[in-house]
Amino acid sequence: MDFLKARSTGLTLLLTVALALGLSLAPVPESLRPVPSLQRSGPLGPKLVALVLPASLTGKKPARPPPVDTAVADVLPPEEEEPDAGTSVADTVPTLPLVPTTPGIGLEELSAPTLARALELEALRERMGAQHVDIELNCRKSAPDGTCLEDGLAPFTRALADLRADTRRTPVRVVHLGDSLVASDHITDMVRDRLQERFGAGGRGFLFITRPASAGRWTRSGRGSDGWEIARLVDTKWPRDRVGWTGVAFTSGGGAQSTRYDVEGSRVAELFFLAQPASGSVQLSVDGKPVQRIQTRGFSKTKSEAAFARVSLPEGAKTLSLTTSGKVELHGVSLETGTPGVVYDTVGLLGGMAEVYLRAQPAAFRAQLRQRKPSLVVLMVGGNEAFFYSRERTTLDQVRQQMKDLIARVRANVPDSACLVMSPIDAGVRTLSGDVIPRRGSKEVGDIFREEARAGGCAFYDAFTAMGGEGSAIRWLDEGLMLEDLVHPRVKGSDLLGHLFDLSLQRVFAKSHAPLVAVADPPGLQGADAALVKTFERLGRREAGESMRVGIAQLGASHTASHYFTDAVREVLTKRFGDAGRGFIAAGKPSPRLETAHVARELEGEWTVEDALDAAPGGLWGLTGVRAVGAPGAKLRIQFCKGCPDAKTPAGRLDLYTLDVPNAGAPDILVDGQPVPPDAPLPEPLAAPTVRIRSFPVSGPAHTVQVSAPADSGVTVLGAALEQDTPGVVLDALGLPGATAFTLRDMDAAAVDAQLTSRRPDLLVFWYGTNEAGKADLEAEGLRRDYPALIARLRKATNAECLLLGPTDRLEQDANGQWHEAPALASVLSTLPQVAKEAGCAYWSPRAAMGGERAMLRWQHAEPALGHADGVHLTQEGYARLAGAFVRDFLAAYELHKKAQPTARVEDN
Amino acid sequence: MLSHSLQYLAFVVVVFATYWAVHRQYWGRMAVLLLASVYFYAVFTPFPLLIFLAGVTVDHLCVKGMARAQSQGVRKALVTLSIVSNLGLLAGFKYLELLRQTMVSLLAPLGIGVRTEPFHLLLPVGLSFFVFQAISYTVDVYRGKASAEHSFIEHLLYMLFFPRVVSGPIVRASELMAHFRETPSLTPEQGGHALFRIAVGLVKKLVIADVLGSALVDPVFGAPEKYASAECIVAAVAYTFELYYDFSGYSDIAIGVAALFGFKFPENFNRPYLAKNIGEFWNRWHLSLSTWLRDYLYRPLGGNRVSKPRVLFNLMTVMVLGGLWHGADWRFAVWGAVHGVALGVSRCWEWWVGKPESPGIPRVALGMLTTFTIVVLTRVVFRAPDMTHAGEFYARMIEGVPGIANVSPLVWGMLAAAVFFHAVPLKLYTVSSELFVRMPVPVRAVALVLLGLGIRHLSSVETRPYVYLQF
Repeated sequence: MDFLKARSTGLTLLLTVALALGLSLAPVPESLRPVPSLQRSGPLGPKLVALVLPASLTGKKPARPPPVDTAVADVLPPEEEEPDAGTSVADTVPTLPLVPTTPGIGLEELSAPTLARALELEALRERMGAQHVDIELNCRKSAPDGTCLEDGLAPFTRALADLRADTRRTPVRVVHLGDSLVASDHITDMVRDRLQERFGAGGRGFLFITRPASAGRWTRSGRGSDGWEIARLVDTKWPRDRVGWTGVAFTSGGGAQSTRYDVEGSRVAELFFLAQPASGSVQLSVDGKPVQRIQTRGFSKTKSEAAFARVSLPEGAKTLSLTTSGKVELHGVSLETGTPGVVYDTVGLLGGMAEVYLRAQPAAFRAQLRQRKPSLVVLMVGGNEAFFYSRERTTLDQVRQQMKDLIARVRANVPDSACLVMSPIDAGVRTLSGDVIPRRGSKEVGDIFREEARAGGCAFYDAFTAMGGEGSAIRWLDEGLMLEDLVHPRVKGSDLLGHLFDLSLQRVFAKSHAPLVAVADPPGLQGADAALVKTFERLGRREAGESMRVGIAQLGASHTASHYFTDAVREVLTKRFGDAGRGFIAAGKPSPRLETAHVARELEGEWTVEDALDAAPGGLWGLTGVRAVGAPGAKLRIQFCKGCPDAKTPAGRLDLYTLDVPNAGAPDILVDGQPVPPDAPLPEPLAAPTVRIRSFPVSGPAHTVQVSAPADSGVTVLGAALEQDTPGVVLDALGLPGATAFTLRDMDAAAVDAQLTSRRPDLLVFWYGTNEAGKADLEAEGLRRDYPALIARLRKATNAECLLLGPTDRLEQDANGQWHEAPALASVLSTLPQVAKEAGCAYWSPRAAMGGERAMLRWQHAEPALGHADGVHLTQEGYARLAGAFVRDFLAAYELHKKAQPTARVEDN
Repeated sequence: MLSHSLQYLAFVVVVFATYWAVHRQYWGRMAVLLLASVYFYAVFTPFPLLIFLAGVTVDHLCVKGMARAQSQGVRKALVTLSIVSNLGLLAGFKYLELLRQTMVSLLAPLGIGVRTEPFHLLLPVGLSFFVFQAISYTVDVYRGKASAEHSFIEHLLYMLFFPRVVSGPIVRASELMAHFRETPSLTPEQGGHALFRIAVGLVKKLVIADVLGSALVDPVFGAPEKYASAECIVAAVAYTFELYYDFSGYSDIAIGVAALFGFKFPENFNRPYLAKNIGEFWNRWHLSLSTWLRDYLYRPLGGNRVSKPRVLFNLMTVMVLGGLWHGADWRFAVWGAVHGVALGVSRCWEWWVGKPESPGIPRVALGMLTTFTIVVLTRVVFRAPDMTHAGEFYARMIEGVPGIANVSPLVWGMLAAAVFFHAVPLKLYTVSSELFVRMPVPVRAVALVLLGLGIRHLSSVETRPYVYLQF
């Protein structure tokens, strides 16, 4: 141990370390402690480890050396890869609602997939100590006596209400100005997506010509050529005399420059440019074809001014290209759908501050802002102000004056627009000892912004408190929500900030807006814990490996008859629990809707397909309310697994449902081309039409059953079902377009009960209500009385559990083309949960899953369209989307059940 | 893990204890130093270690090949291979993007398509230093100035030795690798001097350089239009001192830490701002680089033993390439070229009037002032993010905007301290170091802790990386 000999260097080092540690832990003033962090609360061991070990070895992300040039407060954070949002229903992964959601926080109008993501963010919020902070509305217009006549966001909430009521024909535009937090568009894209989902999408909004920085995403710009000369308001030599709030001038100095935008879904493009003397032109081309040349030469021979040119885009346009000729200065392009909806413009300048936006030429700022006619202007700066304040490079007085001036400019330029000021978020810095401490300034700057917002008649959002207050940046860093620079949130952190801001906006809207349907219509599967116990038990046993079948029969109207919803649900359930066969197919005409399920129907000869819609009560019908009546000699074929390869396994059963009529001859039946043996004679001749179910053993997946009417009499076929002897789920889609619960009620009970019992369902899913909602004369009391009785009867016959689905968001268009809620929608929405409760069923609201109030309009306008133009039905994509939401909630409830009763068992039926 | 962080100091203490516990066993001390070096670098980022390993492997094979080769042609081919492979690494990781950008600017207007997406290659920390040191060894072996008998492990440790791996100094094989097989020793005096050197380095970096940087240089260079002309001039001077105290502070720590393990690194600075002409400046600034450029570039080009125009050409070539070595940006080439011109002018002046044997004080003062002014002015290009900003900064300096209020008393104080400690006789430093060495061990420990406390209170709140870390 030479290195510890007296006078040795080692002894010096040892004593120095001991003395430093001792002083740091001793009860001395903090100024005398070499390493103050050791004295803070918590066990000493981890603190010592954190002190001497690099972050990469203590489980934290390795700290990159900070950039050498620290002169610039705001730099573009590196982009992260975003998780791929799976769209296939089969890929739907059930996630549990990790936190109980508090009513009223703003989640109510989100569609199911968005709600699922929002719940994940809520769980994250809870873990991070972030908070729901209400927007301080303040007052933009007061009466002489001081009473507030209009709150700070009133123009915005009014505009949204008009959109919701379908009385507005123009978009609701938001102009969001900010710094690098906005530049990455990770906070604002969350807000944009949510607003557009709730109120309709009006387009992509304002986009730069090309990326104004050498890095970052392309989401808010076109893809420009390399030669654009870019001048930004944040530059040392900023474009003083011509740029407005858009903040960046793109000049084609030498040679032609170009840029290209993806314009799918857009119908209107507007070019923002500088009209100046001796300026060149811009050729606009759509999908490579020239559509218009815009001259950018100004009227004045000496002055330049901000100018705009609007161009209509043909339907189906995919790309818009701009090519310059001569010296041209462009500022951006806005893209809109031309339909009412929300357009959320964002301009994020690296290093953006109030002072930077004040550098904009006042006339251009005004012209550009008025051109957009925004309903709301959001000012999201402050991070750089706080940084400079922390470095004593600015004063709070300067910060105050600059924000005051910016608010005044916005209010003066667009007096009819609401404005909202956001506080800066928390940030941190690293000290010499490697400690990460809060950076001073954010709170102080936020407080000043709050005061100036109030004084200027703008609303205020305290993002600092929402994030979790002082020190939250450090917690966010530890949890991987913050970048190592301790200034910029990562994508996940940005999403959380966007989520919180969006919900605060939604709460403001909800408070200011009377619901169009005054009925509580909560999302999610209600009452499953009590109503679906046996179903979940059986699914659990199946998943655990037991060889068993779980039958589900869904009865309903066109939503069920389309098969799109049930196909999507079946895909997910059979993938997880096994496939026990296609189930029931009603007799009928050929239908393209069955093609995706590889099922084909053919009718040969003279057939009449009758249904129970307008029939007298008591008729005998198949399970879907349909029967196919064939004339003598007519043939009907139902083909399962069409196009599937021949195989010998698995073994299975093919059931044929017919209506035997007295004195009629027996039909000729072929199964896979082979005649089946004649039926055994009945003990007594039939006195009345009777449902007959014949069962044939089969093997392999592909089968065809053919029924031929005898030459001397007709035949009535109700349907056929295929099941296999493999364990898994069988889901029957038993829908009749136009049907209501009354239709099912009025069908012959014995026939329905017998057929349904033969299907051996464990769960009955009833999806009626949408057609009831369309009946102005709906007898709600009759529905509330008869529907539970019907369910009780069928449950008794089948010993199955039940689940009710409510109506979709059914709308009707008046003579002026305006949409309104279907006349009985409110009545049905309030009745069906009661029916479910009374019948002991679970309840799930498709309308709530679509997004609640006026969701159908948004689904109609979605790209691709999810809602049908009739305001009643969904498109195939829409049904798949809705099925994804349903199955997600269903499986989430199943998972909860599994957690609650991991070993519980019930008797097999 | 920067060398002015607590983590680094803790790391050094642990390695120090382990090293001296096994220092009598060759493999023991080699293992300790190599593992420590790999760990130190891997904490920054581990991936480049694979690049370095590949580079050392190629070099080592070349060296062994040269040792066995009988033919001079083969030896030449091998040394050429080593130089090309090392420069290839540098070109690939450091200059490829500059080349792409340059090609885009030059060829795009002519309609010739060049890749527009950046390569996104990360520059391994310390690559420039690695490459120059690697070349120095293989060339020295070729020239017969270094032994080719070193093992691969020795070669690897020579390249990765942690006190110098990220920013030099560029150490010759004779100064480091040649001593690996000697049993090291560390007298109390040597150890004391080493600790004193480290302490001085920490003060230089954390107290003077960082305070000047964060309190004046960064704000002014970030937005010169917000500051008066005099403030810009003071900021340029402050940056000149910041750069010196930053890099010489780092070098002091590197030299001191190496000394703790019994190795003597060459000096990297010799009070450069006291130089009387630009040539002398380069004999005092970043000596390990300037001597490398002299030995491996300038002299192979012919040095001074060629015609006068060729000498000027050689000077210009060396300075432009030396400038570009600092960073893949043409502004560094411009910075180097300006120094090349200044050196050329200085050389021409000497040819014309001859070297004064004993210049008087006025002449010395004028020479120092002129040299310092050139250095300060060229530092603007070095510091600005691009040439446009540099131009704006120069313009602001001469605009004559009045005011000096933004230079705080703290900055004036640090500038005064910077000038004082730069100009103070070396004797004072030597005496202080001796005083420290003679202190009893407990007093030394108290002094070091007090120094740490002082640094804690005087330094900038935020840690700042070394400027040369980017090169």
